[in-house]
Amino acid sequence: MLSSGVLKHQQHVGLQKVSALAGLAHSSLGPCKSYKFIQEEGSREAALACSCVRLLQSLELSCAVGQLVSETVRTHHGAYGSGSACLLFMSGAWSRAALESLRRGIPAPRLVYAMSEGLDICLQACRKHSVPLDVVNTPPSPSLSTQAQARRPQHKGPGNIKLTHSRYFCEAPASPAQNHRDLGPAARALSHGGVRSMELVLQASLLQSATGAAGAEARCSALDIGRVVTCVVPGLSEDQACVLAGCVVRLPAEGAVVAQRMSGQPLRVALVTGDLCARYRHLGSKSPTGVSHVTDRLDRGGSGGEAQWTASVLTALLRLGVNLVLVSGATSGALSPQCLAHRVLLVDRVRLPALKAIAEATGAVPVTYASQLSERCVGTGVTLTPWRDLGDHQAVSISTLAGAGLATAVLTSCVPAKLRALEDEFWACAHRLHRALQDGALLPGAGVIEMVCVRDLQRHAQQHLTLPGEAGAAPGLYRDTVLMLMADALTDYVATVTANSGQCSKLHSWTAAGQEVKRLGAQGQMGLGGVSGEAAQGQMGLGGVSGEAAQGRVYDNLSVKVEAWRRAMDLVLLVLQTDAEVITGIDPEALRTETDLMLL
Amino acid sequence: MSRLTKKLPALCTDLPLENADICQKLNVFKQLLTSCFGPNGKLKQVHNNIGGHSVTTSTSQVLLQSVAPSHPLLKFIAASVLNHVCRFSDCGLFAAILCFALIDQAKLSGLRRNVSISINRYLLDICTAYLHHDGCGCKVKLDFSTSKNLITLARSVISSKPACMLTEQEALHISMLAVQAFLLTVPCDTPGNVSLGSTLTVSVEGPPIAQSAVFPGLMVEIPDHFKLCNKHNFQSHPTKMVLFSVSLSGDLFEMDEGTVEVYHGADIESQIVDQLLVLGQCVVKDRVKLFVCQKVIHPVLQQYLNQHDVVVMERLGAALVEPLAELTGSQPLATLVTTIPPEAYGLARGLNVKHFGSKRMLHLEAPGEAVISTMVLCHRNQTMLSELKVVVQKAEHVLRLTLREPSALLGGGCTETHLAAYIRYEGINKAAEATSSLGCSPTEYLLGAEAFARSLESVARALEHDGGTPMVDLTHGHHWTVPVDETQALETKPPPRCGCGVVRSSSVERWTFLSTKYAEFSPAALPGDCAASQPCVLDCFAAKMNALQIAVETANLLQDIRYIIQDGN
Repeated sequence: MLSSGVLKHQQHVGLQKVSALAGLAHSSLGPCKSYKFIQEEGSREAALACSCVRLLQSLELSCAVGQLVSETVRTHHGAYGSGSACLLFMSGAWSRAALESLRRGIPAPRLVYAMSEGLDICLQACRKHSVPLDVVNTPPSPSLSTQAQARRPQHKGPGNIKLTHSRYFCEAPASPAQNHRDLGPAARALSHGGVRSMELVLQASLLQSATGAAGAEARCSALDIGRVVTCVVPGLSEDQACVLAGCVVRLPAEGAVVAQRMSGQPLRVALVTGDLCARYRHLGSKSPTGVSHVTDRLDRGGSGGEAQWTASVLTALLRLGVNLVLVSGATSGALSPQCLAHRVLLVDRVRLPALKAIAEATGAVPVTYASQLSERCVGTGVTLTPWRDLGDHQAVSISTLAGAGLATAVLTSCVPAKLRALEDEFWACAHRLHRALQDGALLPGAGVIEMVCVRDLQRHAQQHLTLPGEAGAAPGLYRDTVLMLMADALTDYVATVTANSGQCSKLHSWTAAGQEVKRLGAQGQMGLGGVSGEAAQGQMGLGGVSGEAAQGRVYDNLSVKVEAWRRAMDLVLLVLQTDAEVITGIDPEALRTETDLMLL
Repeated sequence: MSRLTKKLPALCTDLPLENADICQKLNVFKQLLTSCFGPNGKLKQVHNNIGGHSVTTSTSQVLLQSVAPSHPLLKFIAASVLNHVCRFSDCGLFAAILCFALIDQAKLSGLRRNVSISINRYLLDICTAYLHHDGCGCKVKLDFSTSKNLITLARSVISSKPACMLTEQEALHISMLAVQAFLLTVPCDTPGNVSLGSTLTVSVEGPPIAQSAVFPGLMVEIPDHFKLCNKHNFQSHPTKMVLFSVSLSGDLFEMDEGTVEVYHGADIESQIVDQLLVLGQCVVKDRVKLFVCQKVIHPVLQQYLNQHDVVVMERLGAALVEPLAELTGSQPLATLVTTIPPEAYGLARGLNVKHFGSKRMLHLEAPGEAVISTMVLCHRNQTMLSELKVVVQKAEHVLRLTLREPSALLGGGCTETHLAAYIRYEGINKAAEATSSLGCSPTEYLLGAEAFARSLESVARALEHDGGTPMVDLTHGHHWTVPVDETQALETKPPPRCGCGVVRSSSVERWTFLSTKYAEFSPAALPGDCAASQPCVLDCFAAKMNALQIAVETANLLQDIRYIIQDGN
């Protein structure tokens, strides 16, 4: 009989676990990331991983805290596509802050209250120091101009003299569309070390705005990641990576010949979601069991279901004059050669976003079964363009005459193991730029916003609140301690990023960060406006943090950072308030040895 | 022939409550539940042995459902608490903690089992009578002309579970939504017998809590590729709809065992698809504009319906079928038919798409007055969201219970300490009467009364988990907690307000520590001008009354168990 066991958490072991797991994020922070090998014990298979999302995916964490951590990271990554390392690191750093607070005897409810307050201070600092995207996108010029634009709303009072004649004080471009057209500066500032990948993202964005006739959505955001797909090509050197219009697929040699003949001609296309094979059934349908076929004839003419099905599909395709069939799943092995013989090209494993974009641009209606195909399901105006011969494969681009705004990033590498990491990096860059366009604002990066938060936290900790008589507020000393420890956690983040960039030791980074915070503090007395402006110019003392000092400016995503911090704090507070773990479904015989576990 | 195994003898445990092993288990179970109690309670992570999904919770309902202890005594306690929670939602932990405390105190008092049992029963009656009495000092009459106390009641439930991770403002927002949803279930002007509507809860992970809201009608999540073709002629006037609870995926009928013989060449699947298309034609002919199926719809049928401007919704899920049928007045069709009886059709109004984060929801409204409403709950992550969902449903149930008994009990441990003071006072007064009717000595009776009072107090004590000092005032018998003071002052000073927020420290002269003996006093009822001091924590009256009874009866039964006999086979 199975029973449940209770595991008491001694000495806040949960927080220690989070802190240990967060160690994974250390080398994934900052622009210089290091690759990690993941080897499977049984099969000896190994994979390269660079992002902590991939690392967590491959670690099978069975403990409750581990699961909570990987669940948090996975959902964050699903929603934002970047910032997972920041989330993981901060949950570790804040866990350590919480542990230290508990060690100093601060009761848990007070700690929860104070940490939430600390997070609010940080989020407020983020809102206050966010830089509008327009400001970032204006070409680099003396800091005066940027600051002037950043503060422009304040200057709009009556009686203000407008300095329209100075080129530094000129009005911002009027139409937002024009603003968005040049995403270069923002993109470079958000590349975070992935310069090449970001270059590809920019190209994709340019391609989309050039061809994007479909949907107003695509045009106003200038980068529609729903219409970007990636195609990985091993064997080519990395500098051959590029962005092509349409959807690039790799065809085997037989298909390539047909594709070659079709190139340039307008084609009729059919779209199939799911697999195109006789045995495929739509999701939720159970294939009938317990049906036996009986016949009164010995000779069945060899016409099994498969052959009959293949013939019927081919007939349908030929009747409708379809030249190209795009399938999101797999295709039947027997169907493909027969189709090729009739000059119908079957392409399998086409990504769903691509299918959707082509459907919109051509008027084709995706179907589940070939038997559903009719005249109104077939789309027109698709062209094939051969791109490159890759030896055994041929890369072909499928595009539509009416622009679908579809772009494919072709990612190449001579080292096949690196391709996945390159793909991850490309998507991280794409998501960062996409988010920036959605937010319309950025945060000063390279550790600047963290240091501003450190300064604000320290300032709040030092300024003693005059408490109202009512209970509830986290009173003085405890609050100050917690805020200071939270500030230390953020300093640790900056120091780790700096140390990762390989320019100085972690100890030195700590000192440098501390000095920078002091400098910021002194500067803050004069006026806060300068912080963001100066940061935008990359004139902060820690310019080296980024490893991109030459380029000057580094920015972070506003919503991603805010959300990552919030999720990290949620995680820490949940674990902090947990005192026991209940494990269900234990076989009492098998677990005699576990001493901490109390069976119920 | 099967192998014969020797039959194991049954295992018999004599006096289980005195068995060290069982006591240890009881103790762990007690700690597990006690540490969850109240707004500062500690959370528990529940997960299975093979790394399944983990749940973080401090609600008795979720915890007991997933823990499922194997020892019969623990099973019994868990079952009584779960049964209570099932009927009343709230006060599950209260019942469990009180039950454990009664067992512990009975042991400490050294009373004979039957004496302790009868005294407990007697005192329970005194408590029940007092709580039902109009002059009861820990009861608040609920006034339905204002939502203030209702919101307080809901907020007490919602903020008592820290795993929801709500700020004070967010807790208030959610409480107001719970009250709003509750009010929507009460029909406006129906004379005679009134039947309440229902509220469905939909949770959306991602958007901030502030986006949570209550809508009349139903909100159904729709997939990305969902098409709304004839949206414009849908919004204002009622539209004909049909609802299927049978799968339209083109599957064969359910065959449990046995086979069907089919003549070779016959294509069953295409025949079923033809059948489905006949159904489609019938629906189109009858001018149905909304076609809903609980399960999967065959793509061919979907395509056909889409071509004829019918909005198709599949995979509604079993939970939504009944509410949708009720909302639209349609009859869910449970068999595959080719002609649909006219009475099966229903009417829906207002087909709007609403966005919550990345999710899209279809908002369906009733053609007449709404009897069904939907609460959409948003939160940042799944762990907190699932706890929030449980807690909000609990709050709604608690609000509903107020219709049966329009009063509430003071929360924050004040009802417990107040009752304890009352028991001690009444104990002295009724000692003579009680000893004669119970057939015990006055000493025994006083010991029993003290044990009962201490058990109640230990529930109030369980609210504190972080080293604070529980106290009681000697005027009203309310509960006060002195937090751990960072300045380490020697003099303990009570906070400005008591646990439930009604009594101010300025109006009280003397306090004592909760576990110390104090001279009996009649706990004074609240001053008449209650408006000046609104309670900030309220507990559901019906739930607490039942929990009190469940706790005493369960504890009595446990004490009464002489043997446990377990069949080992």
